[in-house]
Amino acid sequence: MSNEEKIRQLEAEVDRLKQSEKVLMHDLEIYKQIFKHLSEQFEELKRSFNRR
Amino acid sequence: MRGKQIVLLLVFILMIPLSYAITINPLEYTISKPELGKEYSIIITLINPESTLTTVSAAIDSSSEYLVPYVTIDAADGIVLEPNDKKNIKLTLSLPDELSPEKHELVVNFVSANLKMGSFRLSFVIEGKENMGLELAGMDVESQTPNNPVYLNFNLKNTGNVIVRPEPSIIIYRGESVVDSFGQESSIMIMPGQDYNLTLLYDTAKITEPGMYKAEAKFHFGGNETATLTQEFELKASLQKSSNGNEIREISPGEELMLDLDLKDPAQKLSFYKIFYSIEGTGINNFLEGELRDDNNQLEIRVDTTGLKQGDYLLNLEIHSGINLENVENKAIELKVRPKKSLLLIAIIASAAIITLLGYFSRKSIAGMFSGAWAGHTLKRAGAASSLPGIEKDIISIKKSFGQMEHEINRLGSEISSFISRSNAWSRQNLGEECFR
Repeated sequence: MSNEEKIRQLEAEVDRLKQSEKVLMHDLEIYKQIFKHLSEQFEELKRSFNRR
Repeated sequence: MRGKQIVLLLVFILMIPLSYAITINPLEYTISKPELGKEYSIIITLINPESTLTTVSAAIDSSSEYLVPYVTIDAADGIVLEPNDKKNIKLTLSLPDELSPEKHELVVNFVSANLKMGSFRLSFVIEGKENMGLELAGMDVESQTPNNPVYLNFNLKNTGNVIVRPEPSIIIYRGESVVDSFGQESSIMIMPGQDYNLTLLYDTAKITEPGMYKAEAKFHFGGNETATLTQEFELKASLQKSSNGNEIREISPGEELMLDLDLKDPAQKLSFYKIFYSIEGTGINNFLEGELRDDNNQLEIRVDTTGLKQGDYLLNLEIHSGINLENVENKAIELKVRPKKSLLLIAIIASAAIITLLGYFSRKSIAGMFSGAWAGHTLKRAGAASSLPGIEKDIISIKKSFGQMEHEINRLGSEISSFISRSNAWSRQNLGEECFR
């Protein structure tokens, strides 16, 4: 494989990693929101339990 | 004026706290005679000796993750410590009715702003006769092309009554020679009586040559080791594809082309094949037929390319296979006949030497012309490499971003773990043990 081809391959790999990074960031943000929502629901559950 | 700025900067730097630290007291505690089914509470004091406010979270270390269902830590998340403040944290360990007879260690990490501030270790020994056993029950290697990793699948069985922390030891052979070894470190934990399917990803960076290899694997555990299993695997040459999807093969003049064909849907016992091939514009064509037995769908054929001169050719294949030759596949391979790189290099060096010598003897500028040509070539190479710093910069930035993401994932993991502990504690307290049954 020539140097040019190797560089092209590296560039493609870097692009792929950038895409993965975006996807993972997005997923992590969703997980954070789900967890936040769950924590809030749990607090709400505790509050309603204490009211009873 | 500049001196004043430097003094101000120094004052500012001196005002920045050099480290964020908390004191954990005690750092470790041992339950001397633990009884199964009983509850133990320990008070851990966190002291903030710094002049800045610190928020600390408690999270159970992955090495003692199996103890998470039995542990509750009060206010595990978001412990706020004012400057020079201290807080008591209550840790409760509810020992289950059954636990392996060995020394257990619960490690609780205190984390602030993604940094581990320190750990508390709680240890206890469950009395009983220890029997450590691990069986490597199976091994399977999924071989792929050299540009892709190889997957090594293992089936491990904990045959004893204590937790096993196996460490893989894998050696890759080509023939009798060792080409690579790896896998000495691991954080795998197998609970007593449990099966564990482990998949290791092996980067074939050290074995770029296609061919047959052998993986030899065993696992070390507590001073013992499992039996050794070996399995052969094949690395196939990676297929180069052209822009229109055709496979590209490169051969040198006078070389015969060897083709590995995967035939479609062969019958279980016996199937037949008929292959027609032709190389466009050369008059080379042939017809092969035969039979395949025992579910074997791999066929190696030789195409007589020895008479081809340097250039590009198109090889067309029509493959019929099956009991009644019912499966038909058409395939085109772009054939590039090129001198071997090493031969090309020798030819260039030889030409260079001849031109230089000619230049020297004729005292003309031929050698200078060659130097110019060589310099041009070098410049072209340098131009091709000029995008490398950009790639390196991108990789550094990606690495940084992934590192940050790893911290965030760890933090979220710790938060989830402490949330589970807190919710379990609350449920136990308010709903009773019944809700866990």
